[in-house]
Amino acid sequence: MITVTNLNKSFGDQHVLYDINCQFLPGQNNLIIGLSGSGKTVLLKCLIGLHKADSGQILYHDRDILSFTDKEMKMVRQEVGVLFQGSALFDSMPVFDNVAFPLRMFGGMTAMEIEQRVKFCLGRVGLDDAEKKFPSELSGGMQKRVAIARAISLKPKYLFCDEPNSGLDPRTSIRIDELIDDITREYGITTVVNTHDMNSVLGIGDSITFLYQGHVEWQGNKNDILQTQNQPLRDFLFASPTLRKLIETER
Amino acid sequence: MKIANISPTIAHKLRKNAYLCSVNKWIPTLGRYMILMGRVFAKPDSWSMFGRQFVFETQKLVIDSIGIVCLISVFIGALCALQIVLNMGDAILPPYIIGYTTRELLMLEFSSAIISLILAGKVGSNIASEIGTMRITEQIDALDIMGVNSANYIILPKIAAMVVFMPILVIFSISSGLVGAYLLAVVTNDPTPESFVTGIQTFFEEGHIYFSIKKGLFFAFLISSIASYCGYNVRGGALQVGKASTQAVVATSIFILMFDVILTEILM
Repeated sequence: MITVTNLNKSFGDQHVLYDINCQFLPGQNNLIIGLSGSGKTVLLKCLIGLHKADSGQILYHDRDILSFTDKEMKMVRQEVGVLFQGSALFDSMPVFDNVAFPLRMFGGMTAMEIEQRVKFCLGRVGLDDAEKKFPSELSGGMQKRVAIARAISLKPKYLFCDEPNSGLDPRTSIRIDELIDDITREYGITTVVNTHDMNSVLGIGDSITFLYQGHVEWQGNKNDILQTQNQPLRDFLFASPTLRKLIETER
Repeated sequence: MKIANISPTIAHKLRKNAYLCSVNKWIPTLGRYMILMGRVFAKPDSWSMFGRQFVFETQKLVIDSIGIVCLISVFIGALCALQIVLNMGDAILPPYIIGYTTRELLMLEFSSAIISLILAGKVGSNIASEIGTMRITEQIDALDIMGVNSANYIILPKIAAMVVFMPILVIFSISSGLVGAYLLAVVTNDPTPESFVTGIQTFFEEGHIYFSIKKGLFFAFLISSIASYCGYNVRGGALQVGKASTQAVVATSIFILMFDVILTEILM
């Protein structure tokens, strides 16, 4: 579980996050949604320690990562898997080495154990036959799946996904969502997904935090989001005329 | 406003401000460079991964550069010999002096400084653009998130590969330069190949090779560390990667020539 309390972050004079309070539960898909520029990515980067928050608390269970030294943070990071927006696979390495990378660095495993674990992770994301390919030889969806395999290779307790559906067709996008959902439930990890994809919101949003102009505007889940009366959230949700028409027809 | 219209006091203040701006820019840059080097020269997270990267970087930065170093050295050697022949004119000097001077020029200056300038272009831009691309595609963030010391993992093998194998490149360069000059002697017969060979064996001082190697080691460190710094601090997109690559080549070239003067003064 991750608990965020009174988190503030600014860059120079520009205040980006204001008193953020939210909780991300284990075994659930915790979605952060919002318009572009609302502070989603900054919040995610604060959660994973890439940005240092100005004030507040970020508790990983009962450990406040903002008070950690670099060495303590390094230990926490080995419990974290991150799926970046652009996948962030290492170009110079084939798929096998990309997935094996964290294991070779920190796993303390033999070559045989590493091979077994890599094959398992690639099998889990449905890419058994891609281990010798380089990232440049893979499609966007396959790259995301390799990045997921790499993120889960060290059996993380926390998984962070930054816009996992960006640049993907709707079908591949749904497959990625299903994969994230399966992994979250199977391993009981705390998953935080940063997205503005409506299919993800309605498909896997067990817990949803809506950010608006740098503060938490609304919290709920996929079942009650469509009934919300919160105007900024309604503007965000029903920005698509097709979706608006569809919901009006259903009513 | 024309310079002539500015009062001497204001002109003095402007000059002082320009000087301070320049100092204000360079001191933080030097500080950031030192901090980055502090992170680079740490114990690797995994020695086996360091070994892997070291071999990979040696192949990419050193072995792949041998061809270009030898080719350019052949022409530099031939050119040195040719210029000496042309400029000696009718001077009453023994013909072996051409071989002797060519050897000294190659050993003392060309095979360390000029080859380093060429490597600053080839290797420096390669390092800066590679690390810059890793930065903008979030690969460095991915390393940091895994708890890896990204500066150490990416930069240390590059510096180590360049510094360890630079002496070999310098020796290859000296040898290729002499071969180029010898080929010129064979083709033009001025000087004769025999007198050229006599010349390159005359007054040989072993210390000059060590001098060249010492300079090469220092330049190898400059090339790899400055280019890595430029690439590592890229912010933005493809345009900034291109700028970083250019910046790396320009900065490295200036520092190579500056330290060439300083090292020659100290070591000779």
